[in-house]
Amino acid sequence: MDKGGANVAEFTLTATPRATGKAAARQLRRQGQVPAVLYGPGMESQTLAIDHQMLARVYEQAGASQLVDVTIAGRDERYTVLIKDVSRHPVRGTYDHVDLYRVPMDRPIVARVPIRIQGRDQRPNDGGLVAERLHEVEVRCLPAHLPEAIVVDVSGMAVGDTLYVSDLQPGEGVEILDAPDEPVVAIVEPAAPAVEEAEEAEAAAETGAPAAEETEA
Amino acid sequence: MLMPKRVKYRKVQRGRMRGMARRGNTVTMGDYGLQALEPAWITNTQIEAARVAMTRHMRRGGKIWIKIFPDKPVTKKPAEVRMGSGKGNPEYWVAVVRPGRVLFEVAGVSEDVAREALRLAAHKLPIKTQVVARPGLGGEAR
Repeated sequence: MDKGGANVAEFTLTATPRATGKAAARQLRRQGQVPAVLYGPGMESQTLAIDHQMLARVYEQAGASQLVDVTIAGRDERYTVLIKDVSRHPVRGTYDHVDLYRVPMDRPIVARVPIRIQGRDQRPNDGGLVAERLHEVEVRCLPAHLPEAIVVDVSGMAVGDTLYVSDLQPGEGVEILDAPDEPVVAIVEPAAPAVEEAEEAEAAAETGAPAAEETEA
Repeated sequence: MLMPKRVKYRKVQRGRMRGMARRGNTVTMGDYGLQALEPAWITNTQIEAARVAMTRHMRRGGKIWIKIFPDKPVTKKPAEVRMGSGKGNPEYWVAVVRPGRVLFEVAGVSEDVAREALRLAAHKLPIKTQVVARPGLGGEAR
């Protein structure tokens, strides 16, 4: 049974049904599995488990902006999904849980798409720094039109230039939802080292008792 | 040196540092970050020393973010004073850091320079740390 329409996804995940509850979820994590939930319009949500290594490999490449096919082992079911949210361990970085959103192929969806900077090395050698102000943008489009990334070329930019969301070219059928006046990338003058050294000397002279006053209500 | 401009109460209780950093545990602004692996009170002098070490190594290039702020006053009784007679005076300021917290972030320099700058900064801190990259950091190499 195909629940996701035509096979448009480049990536595939295999999942197995799982029991609910924190004890069962911890047991799965110990066995190298990641608890997952699959939901979407017009379907009952399903609790699943996915192999950690497989998920890590797919998420590293697909991120939250590319469609993924999910096959449920033991059942003849396939869904086209977006990896909508991942919970990771704060220190180890391992995946604790993942949300899979079944995308309706005939309706526009909202997703976050990364911005990829290109042409750093082709820039004139003016000492300017490429300052990335925005790493991803929110877009609305049909799932089939979802771009992998929005590419920004900085090769023609000089010091003082700023590129805004309104300057991005996301492709046909893709609407950017972020504010148009939001800066995406700017070429800035690096901070002068002499100022830093002066600040350090000043800071060293200031060392003493804490100066914060109390303003008791 | 980092410290609050104004506080509601001059002296606070010590508190506990249980669990892990539930917020501020990912690199958000820069490309690489220094992540704490142990709980600690990081003093404003340690933060400043780490900042100076990174700035010196990166020279003119790049940008640094300090993701923690020392907003907790630590009091101390003067030397050779008998116990009692109330709590001591505020002596310095600390940031309460739990494992997983991203302390500093850098951007605008190559990976080698960023890692070396963060390594130098780590030597100024009283805890074990690790260098982490922003999720999704990729694209063309610098």
